[in-house]
Amino acid sequence: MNKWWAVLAVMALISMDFWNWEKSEPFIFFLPYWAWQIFFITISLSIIFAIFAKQGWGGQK
Amino acid sequence: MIEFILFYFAVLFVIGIYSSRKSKDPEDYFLAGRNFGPLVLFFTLAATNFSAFTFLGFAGKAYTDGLGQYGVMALGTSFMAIMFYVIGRKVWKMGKEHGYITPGEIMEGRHESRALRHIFNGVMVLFTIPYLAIQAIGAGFILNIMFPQISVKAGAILIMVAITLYVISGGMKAAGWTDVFQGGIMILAMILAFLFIAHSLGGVEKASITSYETMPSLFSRPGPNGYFTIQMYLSFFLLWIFADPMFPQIFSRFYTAKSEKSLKVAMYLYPLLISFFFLLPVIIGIWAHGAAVSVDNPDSVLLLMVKEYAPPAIFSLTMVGALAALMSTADSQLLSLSTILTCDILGKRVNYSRIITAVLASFAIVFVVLGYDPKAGIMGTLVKTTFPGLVVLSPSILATLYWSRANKWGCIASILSGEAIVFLSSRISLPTFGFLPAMIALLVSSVVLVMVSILTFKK
Repeated sequence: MNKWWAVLAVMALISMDFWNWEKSEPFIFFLPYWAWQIFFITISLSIIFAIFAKQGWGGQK
Repeated sequence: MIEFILFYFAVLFVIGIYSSRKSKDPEDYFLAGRNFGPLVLFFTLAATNFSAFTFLGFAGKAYTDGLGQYGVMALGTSFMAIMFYVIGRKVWKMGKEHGYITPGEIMEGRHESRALRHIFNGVMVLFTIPYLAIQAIGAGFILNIMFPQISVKAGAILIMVAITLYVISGGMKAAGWTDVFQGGIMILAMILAFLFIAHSLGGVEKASITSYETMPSLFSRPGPNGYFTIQMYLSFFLLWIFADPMFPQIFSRFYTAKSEKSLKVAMYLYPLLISFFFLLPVIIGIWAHGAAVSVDNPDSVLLLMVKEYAPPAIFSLTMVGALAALMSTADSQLLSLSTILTCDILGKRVNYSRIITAVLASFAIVFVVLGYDPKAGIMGTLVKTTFPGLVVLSPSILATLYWSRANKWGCIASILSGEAIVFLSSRISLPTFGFLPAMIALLVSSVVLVMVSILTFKK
């Protein structure tokens, strides 16, 4: 169970991208880089939750 | 336009009547017989949570404060889906084992305190009424734009009456199945609106670059008005994780799952939908600057953009999509609140619940007529009322589910102290160090819970 919380903690840390503050470039397609980062974090969460639902959901007593 | 609206309402009422025929006992009416499969549960959770705030408020906030709105909404709400496991799974199990219907029954069951149950449920009811009223206001805006002869307040009242009618006929089954229909319309409308606006503005890239050239600060944080500071970002991240599951309309859906599989599927599909669905209204709100659309009320920017840059049929569909977004939230709020009040005060009786549903709808209308400040905007109103009031409940439910030392005194003290902070922060300026006052309330309620539970713990 702990490994799943560790994965979530890493994802949460990446989400708080304070290093990108006051930046709007580079622009990729129609959004700045940091907005794509948010997009891919949410997609990644979906994948992580799907794997968790299969492997980790029943692990806690 | 009128054909779209009539078709939409006709489908809602047919679902309402069909559901009423399928409801045989109170558990059917209040919780759809605890029988929602994976896709119905996913759609009803999404449609219930994505409201007028999502459809209109996101675009409005992005128009004033920029792309940071996508981050503060999408990240916290996506992470929140883990609560379907942390809270939802346990609530579902306990509900099935003990026949619980309202959220507060779990508190009473664990701590043997009716007072705690009433406090917990009472807070949920009290702080959800402004949110319900916001949906009505959103409906008023939409009807007013579609039919200018209908005032915002009259439109709000009309929609509340329509929602009340199908909720009292079909209960949770009606709310769940209309959510599937409304959720589908909402997603389709938003995607089509985005595509047509982008096409009219010369493509997505050109639309963004034009806005960027008009106001570059829209594309970075903290945004044009400096709203999305690091503290605010973190505040909203935590707020959605801990406040969203405390919405009674979300919490009560944990009871309705047919199996754990329903919760699992909802958990992993939720962030997937958010990834693009939350981005679309935000980017449309930002594009309004490049398109030089004149906006008096930021919350109407999405509708104005669609009206200006999409064909009339898409405008009509978007209007219906916006109505679907707010009605799917309002019907669930009405039902969950009336369920709480009925089961707590009058017992598990369906007919009483129908009467209370009508009374609650009247309260929401009164809030609309007397209390709503349009200058605060949808987000401003909710950040001041519903979200901080409900987030305070999360420490006590988490402790109830996971901490053996938690007791009724700790939970009661936690809720009351947190609400005291919420009340004080609405009256005087408390030191928040740049964070939302709701975070201070969450911190205080957590600390008080632990301290009081330890001090009053009996072996």
